[in-house]
Amino acid sequence: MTRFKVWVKIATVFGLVFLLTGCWGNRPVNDRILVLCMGIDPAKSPNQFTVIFQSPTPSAVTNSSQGSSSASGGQSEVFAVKGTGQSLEAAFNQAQAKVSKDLYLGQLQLLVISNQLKPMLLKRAITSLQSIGTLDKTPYIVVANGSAFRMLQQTSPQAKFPSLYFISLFGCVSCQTDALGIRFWQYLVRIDTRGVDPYLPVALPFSQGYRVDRVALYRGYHYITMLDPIQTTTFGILQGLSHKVSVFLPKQQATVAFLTGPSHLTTQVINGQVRATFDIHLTAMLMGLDAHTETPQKISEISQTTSQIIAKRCVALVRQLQRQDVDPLGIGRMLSWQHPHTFSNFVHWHQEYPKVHVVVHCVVKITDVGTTK
Amino acid sequence: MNTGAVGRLPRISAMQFATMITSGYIALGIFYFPRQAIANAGRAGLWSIILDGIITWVLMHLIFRVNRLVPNETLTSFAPKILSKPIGFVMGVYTIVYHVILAIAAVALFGFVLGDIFLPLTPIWVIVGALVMTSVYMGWGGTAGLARTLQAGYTPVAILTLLTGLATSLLVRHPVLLLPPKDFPIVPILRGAWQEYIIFIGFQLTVTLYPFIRNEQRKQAEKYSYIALGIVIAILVIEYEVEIATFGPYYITQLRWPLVSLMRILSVQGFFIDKFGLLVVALWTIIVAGFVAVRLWCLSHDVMAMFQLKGGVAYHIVLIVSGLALILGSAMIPNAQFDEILNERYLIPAGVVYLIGIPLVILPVAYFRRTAVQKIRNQAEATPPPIG
Repeated sequence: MTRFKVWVKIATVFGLVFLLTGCWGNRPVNDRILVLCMGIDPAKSPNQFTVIFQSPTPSAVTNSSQGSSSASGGQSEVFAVKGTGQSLEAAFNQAQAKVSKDLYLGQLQLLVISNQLKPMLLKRAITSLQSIGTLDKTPYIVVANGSAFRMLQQTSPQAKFPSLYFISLFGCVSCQTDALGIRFWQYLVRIDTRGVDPYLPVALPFSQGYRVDRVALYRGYHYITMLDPIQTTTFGILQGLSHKVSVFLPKQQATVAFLTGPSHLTTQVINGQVRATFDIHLTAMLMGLDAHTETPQKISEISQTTSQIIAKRCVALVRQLQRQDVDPLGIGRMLSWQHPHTFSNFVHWHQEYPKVHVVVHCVVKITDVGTTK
Repeated sequence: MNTGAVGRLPRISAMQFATMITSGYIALGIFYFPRQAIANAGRAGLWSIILDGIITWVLMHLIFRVNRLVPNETLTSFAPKILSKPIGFVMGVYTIVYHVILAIAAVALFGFVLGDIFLPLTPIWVIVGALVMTSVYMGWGGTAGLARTLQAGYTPVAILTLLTGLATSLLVRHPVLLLPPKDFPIVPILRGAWQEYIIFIGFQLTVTLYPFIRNEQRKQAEKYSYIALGIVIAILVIEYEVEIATFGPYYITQLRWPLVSLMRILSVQGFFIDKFGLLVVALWTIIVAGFVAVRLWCLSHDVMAMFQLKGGVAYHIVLIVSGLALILGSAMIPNAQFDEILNERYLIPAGVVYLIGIPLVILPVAYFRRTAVQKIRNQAEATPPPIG
């Protein structure tokens, strides 16, 4: 009986060892292609899209982990396989057929979508991406102006492959002019929530890498427009995302720089009219003035002038957004939180949104003087 | 393993009792939390959660009163003596069937969660099998061994989850949603509280566990259980606030397992484990294994009490058979949606009926049969504590 018990215990331990390791169906890393970037472009056929699965070469990964910055003998640091189909799964199957290893999406770090994708195709792709269990929703998502494939082919001396570049860029929030990084889950929240529209940073390739100083605006899955760099900084201020925004004042020949601070949106309903108020409190650094001109009155005057300029830009931008019937600032969402009954009475928020009365209060406080002569 | 009144195997401390009771709930509902409350009541879902906590406190109080009638025997043992054998038998069968289905729903759910996130190529029955085997192993040594295992495994994971929950506050995007909602839509709040009650379903194992507390620590055990409940409610409120201020109320209703989704987006850059939230979800295996182990223990003792079985061998056989029943039962649940329907349509109503019904039936009958109850108390324990 004692011997029987011992054998039962040994069998149990072995059973647990095999079952609890999580190795069932496990594949070694060497048998996998870890896809770090994925791009989605429209295909030639109107009902199809092309998906680019980009992965670093093994030598690039080795060099990266060893801290080497040299290129591996002129060879490309990344390789990409493409697949085309009516669904993401079909495109994936086609791409998988072109490689010998398992294409693995669980390590995806960057998703690039073309602004030319039709809403129907974008929705189909996003819905499929959401249902991939191993893919967590933390990759950054950016828009390519035109071809995502061309954007992913661009190299930068600052990083070996695009995913590293964008992780570095968006990972350091205060390093950027505006913290424009959007993770996949943040995009999904916006796309699924009534009263707010998604916006995404745009990456424009140029000879030295990428320029990321614009945002693309969407109404649901419909691409609407792209804000220019000045509008993007204003958008950043309205969202409380600005860090290195500056305003030049020609009259004073001074620059107010490092404008940063929160923006609070509140909504009110006055006689059935919706009113949205942005309270923006920015701190900044004054640069470029002569030492003897830095009087408190002068600084106060510059603060007021800057506040007025920013408030004016903000109002102009919000009005433009209202005209374009796109609500990336989430005025409708805030209304639904603060006045749920009023919001639920609107059958179509987008019919009410252009009528919202918008007020911007901006206060710029100069906390430091950057240069003295 | 002896369910009789005298000479029972080593008993548990007040703290161990509170740990076992706490591990007897939460595990199933935590995955859905707080979707149902928000889907019904919107931002006012917070009041649904708090209402659930208050109701559980009241029900816990009533169940403890039932336990105090014959504190040295399980409900399955003493109910037939007070209510008559047929009613006691029906109550015992109800308890056993309920424990089985609840445990099946829990293991199947966790199988789907693990399969979806970590082990897409592993058959669900393998995940469930490993989980149930672990739970059987945890319950193998009896009450005291299980209690110690839970203290060593469950409590650290619960604390880690709490700390991670606090860390997730870094993800908050809409601080305005942290403000408590000012509206009180009564019907939606009640509906939300009803559907969210799955989070507290399971603490009825108290009726089986109570006799295993050391006699001198019973009062303390009750006190600790209330404190643990208070901590659980506080944690749930914090998690609710963080989730709603991160995702917003509408998006949460679109998520199958909102808390898992929240954990999955938590990454700590520069830390040696980047996806820290996923690690915590993986460690929830211990929470679920604890939940199943406690339930298997309960099930085994109820079966033994009902069929008058005694001894360690009988306990182990019942434990293994119960474990196999869970594996087979979970194989009959085809997908996560079915599991959720099972919870919503059957387990919540059946659990609430049990929790309200037991005190509602037993306490009045015991009041009118005071002499009989006193006799049973004296047979079960030399110096029984006062009932009140």
